[in-house]
Amino acid sequence: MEKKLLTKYWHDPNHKMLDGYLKNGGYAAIKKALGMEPDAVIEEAKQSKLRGRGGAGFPAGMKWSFIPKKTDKPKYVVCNADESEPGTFKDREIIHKDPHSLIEGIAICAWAVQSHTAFIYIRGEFTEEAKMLERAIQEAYDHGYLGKGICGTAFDLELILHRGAGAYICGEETGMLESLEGKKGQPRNKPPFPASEGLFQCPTVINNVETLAVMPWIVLNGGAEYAKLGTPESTGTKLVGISGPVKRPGVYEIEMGMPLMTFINELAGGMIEGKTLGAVIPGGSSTPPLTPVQCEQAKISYESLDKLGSALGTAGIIVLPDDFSVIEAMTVIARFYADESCGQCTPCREGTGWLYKTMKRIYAGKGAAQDLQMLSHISAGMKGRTICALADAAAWPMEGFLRTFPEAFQKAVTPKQAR
Amino acid sequence: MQLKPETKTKIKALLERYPRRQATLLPVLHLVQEDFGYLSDEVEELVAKELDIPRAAVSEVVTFYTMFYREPIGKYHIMACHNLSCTLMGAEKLIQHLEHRLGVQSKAHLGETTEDGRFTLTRVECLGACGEAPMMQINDKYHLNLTIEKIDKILEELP
Amino acid sequence: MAQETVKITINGKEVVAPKGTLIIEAAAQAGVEIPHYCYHPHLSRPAVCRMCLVDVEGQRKLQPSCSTPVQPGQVIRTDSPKVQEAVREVLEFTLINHPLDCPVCDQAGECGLQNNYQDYGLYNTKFTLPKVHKAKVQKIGPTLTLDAERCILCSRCVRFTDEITKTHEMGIMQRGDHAEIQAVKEVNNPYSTNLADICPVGALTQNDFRFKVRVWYLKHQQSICPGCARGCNIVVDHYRGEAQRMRPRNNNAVNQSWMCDDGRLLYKAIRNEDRLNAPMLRKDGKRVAVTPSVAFSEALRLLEKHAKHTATQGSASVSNEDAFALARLLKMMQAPVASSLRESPVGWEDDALLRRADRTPNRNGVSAFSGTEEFAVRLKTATLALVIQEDALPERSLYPQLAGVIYVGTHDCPTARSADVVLPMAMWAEYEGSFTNFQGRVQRFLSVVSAPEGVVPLWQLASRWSEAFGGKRYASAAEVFRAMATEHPLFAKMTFDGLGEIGLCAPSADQSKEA
Ligand SMILES: Cc1cc2nc3c(=O)[nH]c(=O)nc-3n(C[C@H](O)[C@H](O)[C@H](O)COP(=O)(O)O)c2cc1C
Ligand code: SF4
Ligand code: SF4
Ligand code: SF4
Ligand code: FES
Ligand code: FES
Repeated sequence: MEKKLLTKYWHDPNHKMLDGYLKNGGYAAIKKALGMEPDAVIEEAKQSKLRGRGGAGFPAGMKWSFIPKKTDKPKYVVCNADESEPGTFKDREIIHKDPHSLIEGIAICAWAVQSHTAFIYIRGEFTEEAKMLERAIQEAYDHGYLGKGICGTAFDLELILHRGAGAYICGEETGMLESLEGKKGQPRNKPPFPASEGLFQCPTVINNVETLAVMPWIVLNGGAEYAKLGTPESTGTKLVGISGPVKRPGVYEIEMGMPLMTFINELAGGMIEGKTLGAVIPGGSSTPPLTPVQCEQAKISYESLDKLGSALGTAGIIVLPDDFSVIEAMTVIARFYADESCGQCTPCREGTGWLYKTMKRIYAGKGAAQDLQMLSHISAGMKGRTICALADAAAWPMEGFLRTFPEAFQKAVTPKQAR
Repeated sequence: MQLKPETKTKIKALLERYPRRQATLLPVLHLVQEDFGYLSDEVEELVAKELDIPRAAVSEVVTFYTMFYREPIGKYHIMACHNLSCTLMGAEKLIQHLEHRLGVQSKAHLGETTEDGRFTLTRVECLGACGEAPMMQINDKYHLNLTIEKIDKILEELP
Repeated sequence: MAQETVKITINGKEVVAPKGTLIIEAAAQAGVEIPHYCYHPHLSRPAVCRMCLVDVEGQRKLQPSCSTPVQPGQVIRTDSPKVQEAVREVLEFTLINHPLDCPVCDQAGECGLQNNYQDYGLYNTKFTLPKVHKAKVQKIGPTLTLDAERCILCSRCVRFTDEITKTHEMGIMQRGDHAEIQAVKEVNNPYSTNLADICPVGALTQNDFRFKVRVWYLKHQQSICPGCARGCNIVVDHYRGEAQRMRPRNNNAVNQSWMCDDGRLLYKAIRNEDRLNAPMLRKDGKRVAVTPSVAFSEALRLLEKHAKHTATQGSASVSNEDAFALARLLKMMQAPVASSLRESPVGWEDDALLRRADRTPNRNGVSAFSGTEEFAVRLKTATLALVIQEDALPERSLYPQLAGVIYVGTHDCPTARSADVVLPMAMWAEYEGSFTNFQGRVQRFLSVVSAPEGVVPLWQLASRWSEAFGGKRYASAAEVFRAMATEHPLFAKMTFDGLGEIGLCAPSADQSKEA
């Protein structure tokens, strides 16, 4: 069932320590990479067709190739460990079980784009995880995998762990850069893109934890080998998290393309006793929900979920039982985006608040029939008109819930005596 | 009011690592909040002076991020996740239980603090541990797969 | 060097714009107004209000025209249904939490929000949920009042205090729809009132103007601030013959779109109690009011009698036309040219933004027509003193040989009190003329309000007096200017009307001083 590239040694409690990691063949990939031309490393990443695992799914190798080769400015690598999309908890697992893969992946990326300073931006609430990473980073410094002349070469690499302080929007890559610069995490207008003007106005690569942590495997085994796994559009493996009332919630590494129900029933053990599947949010709270019928058709891949009007997102699956109110679920989701909007763009600042207040009113049983039109109207008004995708991320599930559960919404706005 | 000399030393080290002074603001605020418990106007002023950045820049940042406090909080800050996965697994019941037990109202951003100053009960959004829902964070530590019994035990065992 | 240009199409019309121009600016140059709140030509462009979205062919999403530069061949629409819908909906979002207190809002009539929602036929009826409440009226400094509930978070005020004055008083606290504009300290920088100008709504208003006159009653006139050698381009708003406020007017070479707080209050001097508004003669040690023609004739009698024994104190506050006409009169009288100009009041230094230590508006222009010898030196031998505007002769008793003193000025002072003839003259807001600023830029100001009955500008007095010496009498400032332009290289090839709205720099002027 599972296909373990990244998670191969996670059962080994020593794997998170440098000793254990080395015993399991760790840091061989960076040594190999350092013996290759940086461009050849980028080429492997391209060959793998690995798409960024932070949610947007942008091809990683291509992103690296946008970093200018000739520039007087320093270049930066920033690892996105802000993991805050509701339903997503895979990066935390990587940090717990395999911090050195991440450090090694960062080193590979830094070599590929010829950067000498990297940051890991970790969400503030991950205090324990920050300590774990801090320790792993220290180990890597102590043994020459970071610092001056890594692995005995002339290549220097500083890695700085930077803690956030409680703001989902710092997961958006340019919000993250602002935050790293000591400001409010308010995303930037693009262009310019981070590859040309990122951190401190210098060329910057930003990648998710999972994207970077799988790089050692790709370098060791070759991009082509990785691309053989999964589907043509969704190559390789994916860490998929599942939460909600299933028997074995957690994170599993699978080959892309696995049927969603196989994942839910076989890896996650199916619903807990007495619960029936009502809906599935497949990729974090911003992805529209699927009905049980759609779940039967769904595969865990970018293209399959796109086709069903949802998205793979972060592959954080949230399973809703049929006895749970979809109105309540949507109210919680709307509250989240309202709370987390950075507040700079008008449609997002006002729209997320408006959606939440309207949902809250409906959930409280005080909704009116025209509220449903209003919800559609607000969502449509928010999409595609803002600086970052948070506004879209708030509008998609709203539209998805309305589309998928029209009866439940209709009922919720019908006065009790009229039902 | 003054910054602690140890803190000043740490700030100096941070300033050497980052290419711009303001970039140290988040780490510095974490450090300083540890010292003072919360970030008052006076502390914001001190930080602005220490980093030589405008006070407004400090205030904007302090009020933007949920982990910076503008007022004193309890010895134990209970941050109960009320996002979707935790709600599905019974978070609301747990939060109600805590409200009842502690006699305070939970709220987002910063909830109420018990009269003895021991507990603050705040509702927070997803903490990235949904696979082990329902969960909450008490100060730095995550407590996972919670039940009412488990929470009671945890609270009782706190020093 | 010819500037590179880019050809684009806006609403089907071909437009040529310099490379790097923003779409919103290229559109404005082509006469297409794009609604906007956060964009300001002299501030950075965060593109946060999202009002200025336009359709760029080939782009899936609408683009913010305030931060998107033109690209060759771009096809832009600002009038498509898609754009219109976006603007209407963004506006709707802007209104959600905005209190509808237009009837009591001081900004009503010049509010960007009100104008737009009237244009787009929107009224705030859809949103029936409770609004977010924020801090109401607060005095945040000597010049400004802030109402955070009215703020639409365009961040212009934050950018102004960060980027222009670098005083950093303003910040936007919190996030989401709780985001709130706040002053973290007293806003008392010397340019603070500009915040009231740039705030697109009634969140920041000017204390000096709050509830004074409803703006739709105001009339506007183009002028120049007389407060210092910068010569900020301004508009004077007036109502029933009284100036009500001064506002900066855009001139990239001089003051961008700013002016200082002190300058802004100078309109008050037009009607203050020291203003001289009637001519006076000294009789038996007392000043008595006389008609303008009596005072004029008495002054002329003195000028004819003492002619070349007249010592004249000039002023750097008068217009180029005033100074030229005076110089011409003195020449005809064979009197020495007006004395070098007095120092400007102390207290200011040149600052990094606008204010000049020289607090006179026309030293550069007037010096062209003045001598270098001190007035005090000349006084020792003169038998008549002609003092323009300055308090240059407060102790007349030191010069017993002086048979007469003529004072021509706008405000009373010790010199005026000891003069034999006092002739009030019109103030800058009461006539038209030009000043030459410290950069050598000749800028035109127009008449805003009328001068007190019988009070005329200096150039008129001088030109009428010169008739007695065989000179021609000028009919208008433009005519004086024409004569001046033929005689003086500083004004070569210029005409009064040709100064237009933003003035002209003499080719000989020091271009390096251009801002
Ligand atoms: C509102 C918002 C929140 C995001 N949060 C995260 C996050 O928590 N972690 C993450 O890796 N990417 C997040 N992203 C995606 C990042 O912007 C970015 O695409 C990603 O870090 C790039 O890395 P990748 O290409 O390796 O996926 C978020 C994007 C948006 C719009
Ligand atoms: S879309 Fe929302 S979160 Fe993103 S920049 Fe705009 S206001 Fe901020
Ligand atoms: S106070 Fe005015 S200028 Fe400042 S952000 Fe608000 S609306 Fe904009
Ligand atoms: S800087 Fe000088 S010219 Fe400009 S407004 Fe101030 S006083 Fe007037
Ligand atoms: S929903 Fe509670 S940790 Fe994710
Ligand atoms: S004017 Fe362009 S986004 Fe505000």
